[in-house]
Amino acid sequence: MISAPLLGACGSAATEIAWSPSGNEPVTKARVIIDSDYTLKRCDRRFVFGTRRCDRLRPHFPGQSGSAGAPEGQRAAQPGQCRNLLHPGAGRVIDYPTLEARSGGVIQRHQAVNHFLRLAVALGLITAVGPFAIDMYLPALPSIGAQPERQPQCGAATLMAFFIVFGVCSSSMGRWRISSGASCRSMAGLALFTIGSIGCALSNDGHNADRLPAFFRRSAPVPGWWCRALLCATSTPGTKRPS
Amino acid sequence: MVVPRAIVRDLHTGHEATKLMSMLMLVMSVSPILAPGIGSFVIALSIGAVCSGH
Repeated sequence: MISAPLLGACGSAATEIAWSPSGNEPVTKARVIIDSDYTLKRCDRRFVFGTRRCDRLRPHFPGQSGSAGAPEGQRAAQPGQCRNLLHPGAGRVIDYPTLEARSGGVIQRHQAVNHFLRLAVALGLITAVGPFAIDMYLPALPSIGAQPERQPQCGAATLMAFFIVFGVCSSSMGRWRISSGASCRSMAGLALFTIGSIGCALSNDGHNADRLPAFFRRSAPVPGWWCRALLCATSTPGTKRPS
Repeated sequence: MVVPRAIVRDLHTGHEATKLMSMLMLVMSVSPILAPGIGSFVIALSIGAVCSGH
């Protein structure tokens, strides 16, 4: 049964690792390359939310509606003429007044306009994963210690194992980097957390009728729900990963 | 727990960073209060399920 909190601890620590900053580059500068058909070709912004915003960049041409009609040739969008189509289905066009973007150019200011609430919700969910993973199974500690074939300190040992793995992973692997971008890192961490939750849910250790397996079976998917909610909050259709 | 703060600090400055940070602090202070209650509720549900299953 100790393996179940270990799995959860590994997932939780990996979630923390996944969101650690990856370098020293200035965060307000993102290299954006807009393709000839004025879709985003490449964006090496670090964070997933910034990438989502970059992915919505379309140039605005006066006299044309929306971004449907891009003119022929390699005409570049001029600074200040880009628009952000956050909700293309609804036809809602939101201006970035301070945006400076052109083909192959550099966006200097990249302020969040409409993503503030989404960012708050997603970061709140990420923040809540850790305390919920720790505190939700504290009421089950007496049940863990009350197993007849275990020592009473067993429950405390599971909590200690959780914190040991959590601390070691957070401190030693904080500079773990993947060249494919922070969004992949974060999703990998959350996926690992979900796998750990599934492992907790499926762990029985041969005691099917116990309270403890039932508790884990019911409570362990809760972090998975958080991860799913986070994925729903951060994912939008048609987005591109940073190359 | 720490990394969302770093994300807030990297993505926002000034007033927005303050707002986001206060929201995160709210979550961090409320969730340890709510989580044991939710956990005991889940335990009660699981005990009920075990008892009804047998």
